[in-house]
Amino acid sequence: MNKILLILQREYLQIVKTKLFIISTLLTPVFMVAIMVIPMLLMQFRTGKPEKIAIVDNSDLMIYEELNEKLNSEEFKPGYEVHREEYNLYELPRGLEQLKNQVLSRELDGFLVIEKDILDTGSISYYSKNVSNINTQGNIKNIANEIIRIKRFRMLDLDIADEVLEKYLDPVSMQVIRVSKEGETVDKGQGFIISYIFVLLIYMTILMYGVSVLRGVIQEKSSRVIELIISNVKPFQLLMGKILGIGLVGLTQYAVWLVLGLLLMNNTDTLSGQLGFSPVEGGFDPSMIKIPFSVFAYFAIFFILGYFLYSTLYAAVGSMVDNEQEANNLQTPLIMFLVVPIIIMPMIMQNPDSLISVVLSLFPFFSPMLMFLRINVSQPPFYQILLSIGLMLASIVLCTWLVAKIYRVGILMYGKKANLKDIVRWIRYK
Amino acid sequence: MNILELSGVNKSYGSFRAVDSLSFKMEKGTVFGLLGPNGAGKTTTIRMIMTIILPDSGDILLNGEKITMDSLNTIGYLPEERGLYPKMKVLDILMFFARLKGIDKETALKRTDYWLKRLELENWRMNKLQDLSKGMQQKIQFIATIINDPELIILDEPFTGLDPINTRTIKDIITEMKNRGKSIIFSTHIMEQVEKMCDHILLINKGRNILDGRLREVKRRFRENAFRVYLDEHGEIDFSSYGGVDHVKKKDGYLEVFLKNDEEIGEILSDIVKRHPVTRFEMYEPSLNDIFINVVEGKNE
Repeated sequence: MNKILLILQREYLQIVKTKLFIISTLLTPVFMVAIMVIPMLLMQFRTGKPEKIAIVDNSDLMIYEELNEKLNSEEFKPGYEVHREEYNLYELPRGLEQLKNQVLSRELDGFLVIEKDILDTGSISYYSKNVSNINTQGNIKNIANEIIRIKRFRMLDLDIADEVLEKYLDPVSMQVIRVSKEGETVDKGQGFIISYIFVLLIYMTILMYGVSVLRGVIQEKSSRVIELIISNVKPFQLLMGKILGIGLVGLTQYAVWLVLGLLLMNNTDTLSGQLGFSPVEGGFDPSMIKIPFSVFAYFAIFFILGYFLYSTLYAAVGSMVDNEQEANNLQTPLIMFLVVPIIIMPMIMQNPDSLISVVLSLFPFFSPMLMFLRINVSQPPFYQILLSIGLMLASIVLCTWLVAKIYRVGILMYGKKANLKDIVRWIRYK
Repeated sequence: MNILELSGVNKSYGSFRAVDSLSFKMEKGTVFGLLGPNGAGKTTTIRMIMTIILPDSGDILLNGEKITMDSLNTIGYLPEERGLYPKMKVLDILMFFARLKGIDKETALKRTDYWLKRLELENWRMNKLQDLSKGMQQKIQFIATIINDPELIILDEPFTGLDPINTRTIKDIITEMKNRGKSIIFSTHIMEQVEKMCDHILLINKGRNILDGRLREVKRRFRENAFRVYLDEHGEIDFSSYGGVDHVKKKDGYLEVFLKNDEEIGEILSDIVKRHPVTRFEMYEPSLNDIFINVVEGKNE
């Protein structure tokens, strides 16, 4: 036991003391914050300049006037500078060419064309260089929609006031409320994003630290230090010390991130206040995340179990090869097991409780990602969670037993590439 | 008292017999030469002693008992394949291996300091191993081998890659350890290297014990009642008058004189010296190399 501890300590310190580890541990949160903050900053920069939009209105229905009025309202913070361009039917093709040139030369941000038969077709065209500006497009579309719907009702000659009509025509909004034992929470989609991020984190860290174990094993082999070590330590002790040590590095990294994350979340308001902007609607606002404690607990459980399962297998791969290039082929099946859950994640998210989702999430190699995902997006029965944990534990015991046998022989084998037959023979060795 | 005893040890890899019913005893406090050509099974034997691999059958006893993890702590092992952690600091490496051998921190630190000073490496203690030259790395590896002040030291090809000065330093330390009552196993295929240091030798070939005994006895056993006579340029000796002489071989610059038995050797020698201009003579003793070749080729047994 003492020897496992010594190995563990060496593995742990050897990584934790490196500059790479310290920098990546500290920089990752900075990077995450940057991802959140930069869109806000970009939004902020745009407020300085209202967008210039030309409108060609051939409808004779005063649509331009109403659009102009609404687009200039206080509601839109960046604001729009709207003016009218008038072309008669003959001038129209040439006029459009002119406007397009103005868009290309950035005199205009875009222009809107409303045809004469708008009430029948219900279709307007917006020309812009930047077609991904969803905000502006959405605004124009919504306002035009409102105006034209009212105009259509007006055609029916009903005696209803505009305000009343507008109210009647308000679109229906729907709130999504997640029902769970802890209570109800309004889901604005962030649950979805958080689950995705967390599952990706589990995937990435299992892969990262699994490969770390692989590298460690190969390095001990290629530097030939292995023989000296296993003349002092049983291969099983070395294997355990190594896996535990590197796993502990992973947990350390998470602990640092958690502390930094909590500090950050508690100080989001002051932070954004100091930077001089407020969270933008539709942007990513960290303060709206309320992650229940259970998610962290499950995250830890599934990371640890997943890491154990995969890192033992990575250790086996490392013991079977002489260098990292050779390892690439052998680790392909492992990477497949890791990647498949990520690929089928959207499917599981749509139907978290279907039979196939349940079965896939119980498969021990997928559980770290898929069962954790199901816990986040739905409420799988507790027995299923326990079952997946149990199955993973059983697989870990089985894998460790098998891997210890392969590892014991493999670490002393040089030169010869092991095939399946060799490995079966290694396992049978006394 | 035997520190190490192997009886009927076998190890096969598939159809290849690496070690074939090997038995030998090693007396405590002796220097033991485990000799044989490449691939004779030396390293496999050592790995079985170190419990790195398990024998298919047979017993290996250390001080009369089966080897356990605890008793392994009293062995120091220098593997043929050298290598430590290249990215670790010298001090950390030595501390790590000392601690693995069950030595407490304080003692480990004291011994590390002592040996680094002794081998003139104290200025490198905070450097990463990869910053050191190959020869220095070898010395660090040697320190790692003896950091636990082992009762039994197993050195597998200890002098490969060492310059003459470092070789002498290591040999001095080994002699010193022997004088302190430690037992030492030299495993090598370069027999001249250890001929002068060994008390006892074991020759193995194809995994089998082909010659085993105290070095002096082995040498005596293979001495061929012969001596060499070096003469002046034009010197000639007529050996026909000596009844005890069996035959003479004329070599380049000297004569090899084979006797019928070793009883008359004194008389013959003194007579020759009296009558002929002899510059030098010596008893002819076969080297271990010669003995080995003889035994393997089955000429003498």
